[in-house]
Amino acid sequence: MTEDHHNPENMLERVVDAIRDAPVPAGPDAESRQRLVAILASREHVASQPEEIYARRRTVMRRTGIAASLLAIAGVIGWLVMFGDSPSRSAFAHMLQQINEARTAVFETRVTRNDSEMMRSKTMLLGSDWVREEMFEGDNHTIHVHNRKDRKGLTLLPTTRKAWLRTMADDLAQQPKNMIVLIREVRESSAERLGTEQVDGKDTTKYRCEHPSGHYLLWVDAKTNLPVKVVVSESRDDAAPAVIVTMTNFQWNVPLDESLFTLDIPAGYELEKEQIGESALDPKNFIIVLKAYARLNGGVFPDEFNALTPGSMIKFLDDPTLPDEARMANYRRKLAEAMERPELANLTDEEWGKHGSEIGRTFAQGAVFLQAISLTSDWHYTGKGVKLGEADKIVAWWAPKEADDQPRMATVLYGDLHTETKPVESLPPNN
Amino acid sequence: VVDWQAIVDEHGPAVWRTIYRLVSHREDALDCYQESFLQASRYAQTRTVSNWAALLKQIACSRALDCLRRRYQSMARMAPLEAAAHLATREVSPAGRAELNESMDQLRRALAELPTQHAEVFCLREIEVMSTADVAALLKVTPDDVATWLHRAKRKLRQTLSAEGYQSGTER
Repeated sequence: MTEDHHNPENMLERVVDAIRDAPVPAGPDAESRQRLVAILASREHVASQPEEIYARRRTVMRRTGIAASLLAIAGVIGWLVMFGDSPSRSAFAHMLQQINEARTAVFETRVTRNDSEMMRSKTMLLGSDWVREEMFEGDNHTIHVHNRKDRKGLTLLPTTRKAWLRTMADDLAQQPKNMIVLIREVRESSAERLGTEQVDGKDTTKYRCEHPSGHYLLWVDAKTNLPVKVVVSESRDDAAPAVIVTMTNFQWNVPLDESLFTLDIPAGYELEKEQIGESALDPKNFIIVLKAYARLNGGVFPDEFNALTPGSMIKFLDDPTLPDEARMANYRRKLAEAMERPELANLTDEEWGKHGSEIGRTFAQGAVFLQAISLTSDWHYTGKGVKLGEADKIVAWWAPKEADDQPRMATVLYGDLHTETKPVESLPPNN
Repeated sequence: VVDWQAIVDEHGPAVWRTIYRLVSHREDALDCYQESFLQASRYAQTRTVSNWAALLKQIACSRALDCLRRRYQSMARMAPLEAAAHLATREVSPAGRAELNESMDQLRRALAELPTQHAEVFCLREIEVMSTADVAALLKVTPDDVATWLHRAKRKLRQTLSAEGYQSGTER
């Protein structure tokens, strides 16, 4: 850089010129614009709405607690993408090897519905054991620190200075050796190369991959062979996803402040309680969520069920065209009906806040079950077209990957939500 | 009744450009874009809008600056990490471009720290190239106010860039 560039008079002009002349990508797509126009037009007839619509929607999300399932999933997905069972071809294998050898990683996650942000987080991984996530939902800020070797987690709420310590109930993929095991299990056939694209000025190769946690699109840097963007949705139909999780701004092997990775309660924080987490392998909450989905979906189970499906139920519950109070009432009424909890429909905001946490945990556990079961078992969802109550139709089945039983036995879930144990050979594959 | 279809069609691209230049991040820009029109709709519920282009430009600037403030406040909480990330990205970019990108980011950060009116005036005058009279009319202040705030904004931004530039220079 020349002396002239360091002259503050010229420097300011030069930087302003650069901002003014910087390329601007295409704006919102036609569908998003139409949706915005519809909302603006609807507001013409509701002249006295006191709250701004997006802030209000975030309020709805906080109060229901369903967002918690997506918060949980954003973190878990990040971990799986880092270390997990991503399908691969040779370029993928190389990418996964690099990821596996990374000392640190940083990326940002954004959960959106109809282009509107529901929440965002920043994830930092140190070695194979530590994860730190800083999550933002509206004005809420939550920090999670996990140590998967010790199976312990710390949650901090900076605004209220509260802390929670949690011990995980299961030993799921806790040991570093499992990363190598998972990479060996990469499924060559399920990665689909979609071509090349530019992302943030970088030449990338785009892949589509399938995983029990959701449908993945990955953009891999042609030079570094590391991901620069990952998008996960609950539906493969590009037009249909209700919820999309996008991970960007990946950074690898950057120095991280190790003091960020500790389970010590920071000074000034009050420990609320220590708790033992529920088993991630207990299907109880998965079944509750599956039933709620079916009840909202006209009595029919979803075409597919992955880790984003619980959060995607927001599409049934939230009607952004309704005025504020009616929208909230509608939301609570539908959720109460879906969960067969009529008492939820008439709660005060304060009471709803408490129950929201409980519902959030149920949804999060229902989602995490999918992650956990796919690590330990062969997982098959066959619920497409099955109606709630059909006792002879199979919705899902799973069998331990390394069982010695002969014949190999599976847990089978039927349309009336009872379970049976049956030989794997007698069961149908996925839908 | 406001014809929102026509307004979004006519002014949407300019609103998007104004926002994206400042926030330089697609997802943030999408949020600001929607929020800008929603804010405009609230404004239009109680007043008659004679110049939609100017109103939307001012709102877009304001929302983008809000976004920058949130962004840098959030980053401040993770300062060691961001500093490390910054160093990492500088190493892989061509030197000149990396430095310009860094300066643009420094300017955005400095704008986020300016008093709101100073930052808005700077954006509208210098980046959106509006006249002093138009900015004064839009903000309902005098042209002298605009000139004073612009002068103060520039002085502060030059100080910031100069300090940052000096630090960058000494690192190399």
